[in-house]
Formats: sequence, C-alpha cells, structure tokens
Amino acid sequence: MSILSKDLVAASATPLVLSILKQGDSYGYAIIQQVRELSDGEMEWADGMLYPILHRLEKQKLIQSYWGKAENGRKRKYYRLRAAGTNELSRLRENWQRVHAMLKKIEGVQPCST
Amino acid sequence: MFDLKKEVRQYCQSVCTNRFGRSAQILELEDHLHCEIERMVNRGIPPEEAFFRATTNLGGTTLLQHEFRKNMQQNSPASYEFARRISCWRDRIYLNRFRCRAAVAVMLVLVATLVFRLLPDTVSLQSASNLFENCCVVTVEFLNLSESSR
Repeated sequence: MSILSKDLVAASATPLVLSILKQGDSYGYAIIQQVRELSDGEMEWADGMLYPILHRLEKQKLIQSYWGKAENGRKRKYYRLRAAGTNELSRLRENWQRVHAMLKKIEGVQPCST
Repeated sequence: MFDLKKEVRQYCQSVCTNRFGRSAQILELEDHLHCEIERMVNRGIPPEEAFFRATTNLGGTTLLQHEFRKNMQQNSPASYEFARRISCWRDRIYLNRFRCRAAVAVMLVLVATLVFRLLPDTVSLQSASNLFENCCVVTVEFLNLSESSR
C-alpha cells in the first residue's frame, strides 16, 4: 500500500477535519484517531500538525472551540463546525470532485499517436 | 523517578513558545499526550517509554514550534509583529550585555598589563604573571558566559 504524498496530505487536511467535525463536536486526539482509522495508515500525519490546522480554522471562523471536561476530569478543548465551515466544506468538496472528474476525463482520452 | 505529569508539562511548554494563547495551547497538547500515553500504558508499555513514543508521534519540538509560529504569522499579523519586536529587543539586550562584558574583560586585561608595566619593582614577576593569567581566565569566562546566555 503506497503512502500518500506530503503535499496531498497537507491539501486534504482541511476538508478532512471539517468533514469529521460535521459529524459532531470533537477534540484533537479523537480527530487524529479518526483520520488514522479512515486512512488505514496511508496518511503519515504527525499528530502535532493537527493543532496548528485547528487553530487556523478557528481564526478563520470556520470552527469554534470550547472547553469541556474529559471522563477523568482533565480539561479538554472541543471543536464545533460553524455555518461558515459547512459552506467552506461544500466548496472544498466541489473542488476535489472537479479535480477527480478531470482526472477521469484524462483517463478516458486516447493518447496522441505521432 | 520519572514524573510523567511534570515531563508532559515541560515538553508542552517547550513547544508553545509564543506568548499568545500559550496556556490554552499547553493544556490542549497536554491532554493529547496524556490520551496517547494512557492508550499505550493500557497496552502494557511503561510510562517512560510511552512518553517518549507519544512525543515522537507529535512530530518533534522544533517542527511543532515552527508550525505554531507559521500559523501565528499567517493569521495574526499584528500579534506576530508585536512578538517579533519583543524578540528584536531581547536580541538587542543580549547584544548590549555582550558588549558590556567584552568591555569589562578588555579593561581587566589592560589593568593587568599596566600593573605589570608600571609597577615592575613592587610586583614580582611571578605575581604579575599570575594576575595576568587570572585576568585572561576571567576574560574568557566572561565571553563564554555572554555567548551561553544568548
């Protein structure tokens, strides 16, 4: 099984995080675990890379954070998708689908014979 | 003895170097590390090794610091500019401190040389050379201290 390139991982990070948060509020560690499960180990994602992404999305007002408590009483920061985040997710999905459609079209085109 | 809580706190503090929202970032990273360590400990890995593995999985302090800083630069230009200015001032203070220490060191060497030249009769050759040697040692120590404090 080939591992996804760094560029692709970086590009897909935002739509992945937004998609996960669309399913419900979550926190950093749980998001990382979900990405790991979804990718079957194909995505080599340094755990710490997620937090700057989450903070960036929060500053862009796509997601919102709040403090809660874990089962053991530890303070935990949760994230929730905002309306702007849902719109951004739709836009990103469309973009990815466009690229996917382009690749499909190219596959269908016969190579030029010289 | 290995103090897991302390180690986790120290690691997170070393990663979150910027002053803005620092405590929130530390708490968030601490929670992440504790989750990961608990998962490994439940699998039978000793806490010390679990801590090492969890921090490695996080991606290394330098990389994380870079990412956090980059994030700050991109999304909060005003606060980044403020932090950059503070950093510049800190560098200037270090530089001035270094200059002062270097000046003191040079003065000490000059004094030693003068004592040796002006008072050759009252100061024996042995004690003068000892004084000169001590001054050189102090000079080197001053300069080393200045470098290490940067």
